[in-house]
Amino acid sequence: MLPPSDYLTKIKPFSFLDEEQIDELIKNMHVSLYKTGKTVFKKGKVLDRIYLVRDGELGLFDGDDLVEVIGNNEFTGLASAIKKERTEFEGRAISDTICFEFRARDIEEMMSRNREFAEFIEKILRMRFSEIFHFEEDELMALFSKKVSDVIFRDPVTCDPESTLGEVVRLMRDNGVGSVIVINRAGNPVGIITHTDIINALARELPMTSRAHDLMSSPVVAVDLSSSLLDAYIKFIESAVNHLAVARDGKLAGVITIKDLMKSFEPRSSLLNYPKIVKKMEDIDQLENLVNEVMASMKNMLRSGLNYETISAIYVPVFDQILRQILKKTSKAGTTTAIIGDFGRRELVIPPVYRLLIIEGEIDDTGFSDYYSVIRAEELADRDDISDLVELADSRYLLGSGARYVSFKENIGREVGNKKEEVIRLMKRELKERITPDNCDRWIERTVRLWTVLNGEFTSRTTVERIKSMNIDPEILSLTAEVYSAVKLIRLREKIFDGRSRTDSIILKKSVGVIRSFRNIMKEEMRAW
Amino acid sequence: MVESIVDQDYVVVDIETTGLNTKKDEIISFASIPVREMRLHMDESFFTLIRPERFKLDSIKYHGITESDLMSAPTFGEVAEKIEEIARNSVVVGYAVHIDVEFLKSAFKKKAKKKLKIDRYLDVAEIEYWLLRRRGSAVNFRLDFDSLLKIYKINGFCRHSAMGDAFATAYIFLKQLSQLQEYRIGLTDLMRIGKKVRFF
Repeated sequence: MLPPSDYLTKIKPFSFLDEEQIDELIKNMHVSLYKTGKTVFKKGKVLDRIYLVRDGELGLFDGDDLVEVIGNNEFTGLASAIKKERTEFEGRAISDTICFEFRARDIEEMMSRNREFAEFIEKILRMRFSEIFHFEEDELMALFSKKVSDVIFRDPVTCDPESTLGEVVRLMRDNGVGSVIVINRAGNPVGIITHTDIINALARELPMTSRAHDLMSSPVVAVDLSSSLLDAYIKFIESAVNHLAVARDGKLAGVITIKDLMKSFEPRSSLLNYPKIVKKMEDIDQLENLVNEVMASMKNMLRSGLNYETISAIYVPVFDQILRQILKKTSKAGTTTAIIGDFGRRELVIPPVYRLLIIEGEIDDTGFSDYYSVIRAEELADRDDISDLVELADSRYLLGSGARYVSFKENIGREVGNKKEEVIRLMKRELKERITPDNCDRWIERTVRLWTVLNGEFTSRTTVERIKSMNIDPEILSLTAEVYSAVKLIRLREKIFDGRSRTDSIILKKSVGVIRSFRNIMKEEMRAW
Repeated sequence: MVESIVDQDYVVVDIETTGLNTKKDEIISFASIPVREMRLHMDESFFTLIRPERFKLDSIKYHGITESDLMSAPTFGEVAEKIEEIARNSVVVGYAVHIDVEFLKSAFKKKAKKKLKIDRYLDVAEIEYWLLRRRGSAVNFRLDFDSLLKIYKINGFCRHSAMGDAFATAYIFLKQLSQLQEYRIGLTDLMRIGKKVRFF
């Protein structure tokens, strides 16, 4: 056993190597001390060693700009040493720094002999971050990828629109079910009658001869038989119902209840309860507590290996619902409001702070104003700032007059279309921005929004959807989308777990590199404008 | 003109012996790591076990070297030339290095029948005393090897093997060189600092 193998076995990916393999790496290692300011490697070189910082800080510089800092027990030079690419940056010691330097050849040799070691390095090189997150449990992920068809067993109980209340009650009793689906002659579900509907009917003292079409709730919220449980989960949260019709090719195939889903998800099903809890909450303070509770429930989700898009898809509807409940109490009649910003794109941020755009009407100040900030459409018009207008591409309707909202958004879209020159200038300015681990996600959000706006689209979509719709090299697009998701996930983890893990820091640093290459391609593309 | 301490070639040496008596005890392992231009060259490091003429079991237990390991090892005579080559043109560096040098010289005389010329050597403990004093710290504690490891926050470097100790020593020496550079110490001064005899 060679020194310092004990030390190396504690550091990923060396921890994947056995004693003999570590010794082989050490046999050809250099240990170098670089005085502050000393160049470790130059820009534009293909490195023959990778550098593990044992003690000190190594800065990567683009000219005089410090791009990133490699700290204790982190390494750099992998891309150049293994992929034989020229270094993008100059490495310089920021303080007196000791590096353990391993030969590229030896690392490659280990990669050919040790699968785990190779996979870890390849992941870093390909930046398949989402996989790095999968260290922990992915049991929840497995659950979510199950199909609706895996959890429904019973044929649906149905009636036709002309069936009477008495018949429906007997159907429920005889089949031991909590809901009856109303189907038309073509076999398409047109409504659903649940226990709640029966109780309501009785409370209204409707006669037992009342017809199903007067009792039912419609339209029926349905999922496809082949949908994943995740889709069903989101539908339940979004629509705050207890029963979903399951359809195959538009025809009724079964019913899935919230209980079926809970059975699969226990004990993680608490989110499914929120929509109903929210509906009942009258008090703003209660809602505030609920927001905290929902945030706490995020811990498991974040550990589960779900990606950022999925977590957003699960949580944004819950937070939306809380927002609607608050606004129900605070907005005056005739108010039309849209959500802009992160939540406008249906992207989750923590703490959840909504940005609301009031198109007409008014919202009172509430005790829980931390939850949202408000801007009025007139204020935006007065400011006459192109970046404000472009941001409105993210807006989505929340409440009030739908027609009023649509015409507002169409007008803004036209206005922005007329100011194309200004948008191009804004884009060119963005492309000159310095990208850092702290601003890289925001930078992507702004530039891909500008890009889609320049390409004539003015609808609210997630950043990843926008990236994927771009018409440039698909490889860099999928990498950028992946990096963006990874960074957003880190942002959530930072807030929820109160800090950043070492893997997170590494990923952030690597992400900046990818985003820079993305920017270079954007720059090329923008020359045509 | 002062010769730069960075341009000098050094070699960090550590030996394990059957005991502490330089006259009677024998070297059973030798490890060396060259230090040039502020860099440890593990690719040029050298380690060998050495078969002693007589076996002393106590120290053998301590080093974790077994009798059978030693049975198949070369004799000192067989590795003497290599050791001489390693020491040539380099300043020898070690912890309590004068003992190691004594052992080596004695072994050369007895077993290789020739004189080993090592006149320049540096002790990392002596250098550390100087650095501490230079920084105004009163050195009223024993600077044993463990204290040095603590000062330089070294762990995980496999102690108690010739190679492990040589590596730790070399690492310490590298950091010391860096500090000495800041005090603008030249090679002549360094030789004096690293060898200075203390009177307490």
